[in-house]
Amino acid sequence: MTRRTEDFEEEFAAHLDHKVSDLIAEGWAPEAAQAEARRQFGNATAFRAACAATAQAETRRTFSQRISAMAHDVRHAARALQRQPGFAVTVVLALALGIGLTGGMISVIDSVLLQPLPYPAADRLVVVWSARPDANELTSQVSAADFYDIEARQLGTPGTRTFGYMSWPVTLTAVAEPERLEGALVTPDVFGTLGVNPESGTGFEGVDSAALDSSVVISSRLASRLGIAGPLRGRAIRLNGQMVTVLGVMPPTFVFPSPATDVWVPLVLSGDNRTNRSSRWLRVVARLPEHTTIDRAQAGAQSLAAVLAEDFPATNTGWTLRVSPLHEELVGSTRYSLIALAGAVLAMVFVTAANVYNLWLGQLHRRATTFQVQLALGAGRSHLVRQLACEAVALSAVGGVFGLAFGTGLVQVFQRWAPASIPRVADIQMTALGGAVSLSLALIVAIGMAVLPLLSRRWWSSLDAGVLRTRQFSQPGTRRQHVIVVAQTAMVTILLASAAVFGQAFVALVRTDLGIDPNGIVAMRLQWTRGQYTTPDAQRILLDQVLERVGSLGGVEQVAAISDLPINGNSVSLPVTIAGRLAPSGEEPQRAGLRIISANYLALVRTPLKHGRTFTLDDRATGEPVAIVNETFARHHWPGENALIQRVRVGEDQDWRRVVGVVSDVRHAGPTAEEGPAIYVPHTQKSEIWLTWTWLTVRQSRAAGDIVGDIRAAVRQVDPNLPVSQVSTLSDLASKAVALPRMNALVASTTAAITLLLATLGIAALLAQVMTQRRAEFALRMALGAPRATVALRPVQVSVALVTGGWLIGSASLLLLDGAVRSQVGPLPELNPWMWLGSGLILLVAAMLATIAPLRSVLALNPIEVLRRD
Amino acid sequence: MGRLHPRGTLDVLRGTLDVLILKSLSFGPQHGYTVVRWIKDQSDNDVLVEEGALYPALARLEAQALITGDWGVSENNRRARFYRLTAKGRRQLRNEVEGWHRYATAIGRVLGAADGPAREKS
Repeated sequence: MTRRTEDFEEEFAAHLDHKVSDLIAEGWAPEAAQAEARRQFGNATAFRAACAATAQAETRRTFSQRISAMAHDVRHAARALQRQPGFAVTVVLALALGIGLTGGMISVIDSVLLQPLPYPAADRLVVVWSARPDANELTSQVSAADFYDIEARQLGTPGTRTFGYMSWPVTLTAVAEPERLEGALVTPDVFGTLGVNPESGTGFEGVDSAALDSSVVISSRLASRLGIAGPLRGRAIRLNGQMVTVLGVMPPTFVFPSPATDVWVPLVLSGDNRTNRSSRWLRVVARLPEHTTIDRAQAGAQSLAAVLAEDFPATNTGWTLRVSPLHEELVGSTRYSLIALAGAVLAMVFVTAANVYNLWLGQLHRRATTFQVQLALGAGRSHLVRQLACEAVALSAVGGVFGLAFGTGLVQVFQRWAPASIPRVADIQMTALGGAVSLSLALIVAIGMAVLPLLSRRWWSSLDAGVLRTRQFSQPGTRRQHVIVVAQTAMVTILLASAAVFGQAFVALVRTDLGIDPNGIVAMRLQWTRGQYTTPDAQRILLDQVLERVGSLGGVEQVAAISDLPINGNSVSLPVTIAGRLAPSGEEPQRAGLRIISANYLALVRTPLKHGRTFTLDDRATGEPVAIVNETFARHHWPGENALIQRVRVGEDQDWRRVVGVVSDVRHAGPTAEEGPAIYVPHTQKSEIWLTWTWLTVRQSRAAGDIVGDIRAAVRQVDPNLPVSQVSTLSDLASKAVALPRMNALVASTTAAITLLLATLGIAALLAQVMTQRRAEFALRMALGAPRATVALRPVQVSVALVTGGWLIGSASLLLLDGAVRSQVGPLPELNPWMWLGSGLILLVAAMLATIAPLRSVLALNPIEVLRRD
Repeated sequence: MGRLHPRGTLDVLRGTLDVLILKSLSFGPQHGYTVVRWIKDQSDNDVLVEEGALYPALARLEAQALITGDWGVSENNRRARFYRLTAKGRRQLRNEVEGWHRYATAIGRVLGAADGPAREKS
């Protein structure tokens, strides 16, 4: 604190007074004393300034001294760490792994679960479900007529806005290659309800229905691709062969219903479509007014449903409406998986922290001699602590930075490889929360390490003892370290078991019989418009021409078609009628999945035929209508009877079809889902005119280069406006279908492996420490004649005992946790007992590996040398 | 700096002045004038400290946190600034005194030597 010059005034005045008093006491006369005193004092003004200046200069000097002292400490810390490269690298590695994994996981949980949806006040958005509790039926779709009532009556809660939507792929034509885009049919209040307005142009509200018919709103991504910018002024594009006006462009951050949606087409229903109350196909999202709880909204929706059931008993009896938050809809399914994985990562954090603690403690004891020397040479305790803190901060800073980088990389890799079934996959990134957690961890570790030396009184007193003998230093809390090793081992056991269980689940899925042979089959989707091909004959001829052209390509061994690709999961489900059976009135008819196929499809995918025959070219449009069913269909409708004499009608069939064959079930929705009843119909006898799409499946004859390009060209020759989209292989689809279980297995294995590595390092460090400290004891025993091997045996026995104990404790915890985990995560296979034993073996091997280095150093001891030093 | 007393006083170097001030304060808080008088009396009038040296030294010591100053009332019933040692200052004093003794002993031994340096045998 620098003093002001005025202060000095008063001080000098006091000084003068004292001087005058003394002079008077010596015999001077008062005035003479004053004059003499002032003379002796000298030029006050001159050195008053000097005082202030000196004080200031001194403060500055002290400050710069402190800076250079800090710089000195940093350099010293760097040198000290360089001298112990193994230790420094191990600690940094452990920190980087632990912090990286933790930060990455927190980021994923944050991105998927915690971040709000990208709409204003997204917590008020809900999804409306139709439910029939008595029949245990629940669907996320409502009928058109129901929707208009819901909209008009505001879902039973005044102030609610609603809109309906359905995914609706569209084709962008009149560009070089007709392209299929993701789109959505939406009722006009969509943007108002979601709360996001177009960034240029307008939405659909207030536009009269005539104009709505030929208007769309597009995404900013599509707009920039098409070169649409600035004021729109009636800009038009060609969709599905029709010119439509672009009314507005949405902001780049707008996403609904999926990240790939590029076009929003207004849904305008009239006539039968509008009043149909039995066909439930429209999805509904609503925004609740402020201060409305979900329960209140639910009550309102239920009373509205009751009113509808009363007014329209034929279609709505027994049906009710349910609301649930949009956020929950999207991400609810992943909650438990993410939390389970987070638990695993917390275990990792503990292991990391425990290892770092151990290593650091070992350092403190190993360098005790150095510290003693420093203290003896006059360095203060605070200096020592400051120096150690510097090292701790340096280590955790480097570890933290690497951890942050590692975590970011992990998140990016995860995002790229994560299956699309994880909601909000596109949003996954390293978030502020993840970064903050990483840096906080590094900080906590730094503080912990820096504070540690201050806590151990015994260590300080041993340092002050002034006797430079290694043996006299107290051992680090051995029991504490043992407990840490046991705890780490238990955790590793749990993680290994989880990895085994996930691995088993994944392998079981992969081995599931799909009912088809997906290898070597390329698939792609064709979609045409009803406007172009209005009659069944026209559609049949189109498909025949495509099949013929593609089939004649070199490189194509076989080509077939099916309306909905297996494993993909999409399916059309239609009512079926069985000849000789009458469905009781009032009951919903039986349904089955309809698959419209070309004659050779079943042979191409090698679905086993159980009875009868497959379709042939003789099954023509003019011939007898036929069908093939799957085993589930046959078992369900004709249990114990011969299916081949039966007749059925499906969908819009006018005539009865004769069942000519029964095939094995195919896992149409992927390996995880059983197939329901399905019926196959030859494409030449198709009744559903509105089914304006099909998939081509191609078996290649050789590893063809650009067979896809050839196929596209062949299709273009038949119709240049027919887009070919969603090219993939069936093996890819099969692989994607198990992507989520595969990811679970991978993540669990990686976590288990990293934790195992860290635990092994921990055991190795502990053993190294123990060996170093008891070196003198070992040397003595060796000098007294004990064989080398037995001398070192005891610490190894201890470590094996610790690991075994940890394994048993971990296994016991597994039994306890088993029930709880299963109830949350869902069906998981039982842990194979061989796997369990295997985990024990792995731990034992790890413990053995951990002892190699320390053992070698002990066995190489020269007992005489060691004893002489002490 | 120090003023040559007619009887021939030693010049007081700045660093030495600091340690003298610290020593004088080690008996208890003092204000500037009593510090000067005490040094003069203890050194038997051989060391006279000028105010122009004292007050900058006090300011410097205070800035180094070796002493702290508080206002108080002196024997004259006058408001004066009293200084006292801090813990750091006490440590500093101890170190300096030790160093000074070692120095003085070493020099004294050389100056009081009976034998000269060994001569080279030709």
